[in-house]
Amino acid sequence: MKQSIENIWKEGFADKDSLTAPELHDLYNQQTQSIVDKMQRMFDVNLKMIVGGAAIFLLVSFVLGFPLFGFYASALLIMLVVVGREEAKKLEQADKNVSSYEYLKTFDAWLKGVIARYTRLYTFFYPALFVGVMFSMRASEAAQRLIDGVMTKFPDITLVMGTPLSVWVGSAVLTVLITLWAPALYRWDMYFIYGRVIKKLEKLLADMEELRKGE
Amino acid sequence: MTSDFYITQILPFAPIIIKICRAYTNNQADFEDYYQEVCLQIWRSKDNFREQSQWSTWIYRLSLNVCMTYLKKTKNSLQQFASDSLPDEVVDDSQKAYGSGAYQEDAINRLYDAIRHLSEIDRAVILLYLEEKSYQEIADITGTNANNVGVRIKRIKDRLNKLLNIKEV
Repeated sequence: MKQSIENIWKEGFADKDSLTAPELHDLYNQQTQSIVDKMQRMFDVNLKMIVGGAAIFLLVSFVLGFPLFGFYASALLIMLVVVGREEAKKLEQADKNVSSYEYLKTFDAWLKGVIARYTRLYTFFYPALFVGVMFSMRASEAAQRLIDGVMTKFPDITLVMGTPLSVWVGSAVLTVLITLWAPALYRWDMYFIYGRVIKKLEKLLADMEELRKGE
Repeated sequence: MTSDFYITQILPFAPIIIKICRAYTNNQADFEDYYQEVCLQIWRSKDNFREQSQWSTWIYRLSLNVCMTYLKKTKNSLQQFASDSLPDEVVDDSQKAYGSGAYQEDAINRLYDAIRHLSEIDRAVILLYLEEKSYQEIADITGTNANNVGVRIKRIKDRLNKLLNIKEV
């Protein structure tokens, strides 16, 4: 027979054994590993970025002359990192000698736990940061000049500890609003960073659960 | 994926998937990964099958799409050969008798090695051609123009013949 790629193709598959399908083993192992690895890497990078951000912020605060707020904000940021490291350790201790499905369920539970803990933490973090910003601004010379100007125009204004009562009230209202919005803010931030991976994880888990039903 | 769906809807078409996956991988582990990924995607996308085409045609399209996408994603994807020649051990088969079983096995391996030299889309086109799909079907599956398919196949075959040292009369 004439040698041609068409003949090579036909004769190459004449033996049906050459077309035996591989067994579908460990179907989800790689996907599970890939998602878990990706999430862990992202989580780790995120924590490192917060550490870097805290260090830069501290430096900038010294240069610009508000070191107290720099310490305060950096301490808040480092608190996020400490909690993140604690959570990462918990995951490291998770039993890996289980099936992909069980490990993924453990990972999913861990992730939900992390999200719940951070949601509570951010409910404190955002308002605490805002209060810090307000106090830092109030301590600045620019704010003092502004208050002096207002006092000149409205000398009968009520002051509480040298600050107009309206500023206290406004700040308090904003703090309450930020506290109320903090969980939503955190969820938006978190889904912005991890959203795609979380969706993949949910889809994979749903697939695996359907597979288990079918078995 | 339920085993019932796999046995009734995928397994009968496994040869198609196997042939395609082999063209996009160069080792058994990758091949099995691609095969599993294709099966998984068929199962995931089964509700999107609109019966506008045959199930087998749909499997061709989906398998090729998955393999091409997966190839791009895989970090350790195949290294494209820089030159238009195959490694010596692949080309040098002059001592084997054409028509023998050993020759056929080696020949198909050589053909696959040559196909892996091609671009992702050219691999799809030649696989469909070798599976005796019409130019229109090839164009439909690969999303190209049927008028250009013939020219493209000629060019691909010339390249494969050169790679395989086949002199067509």
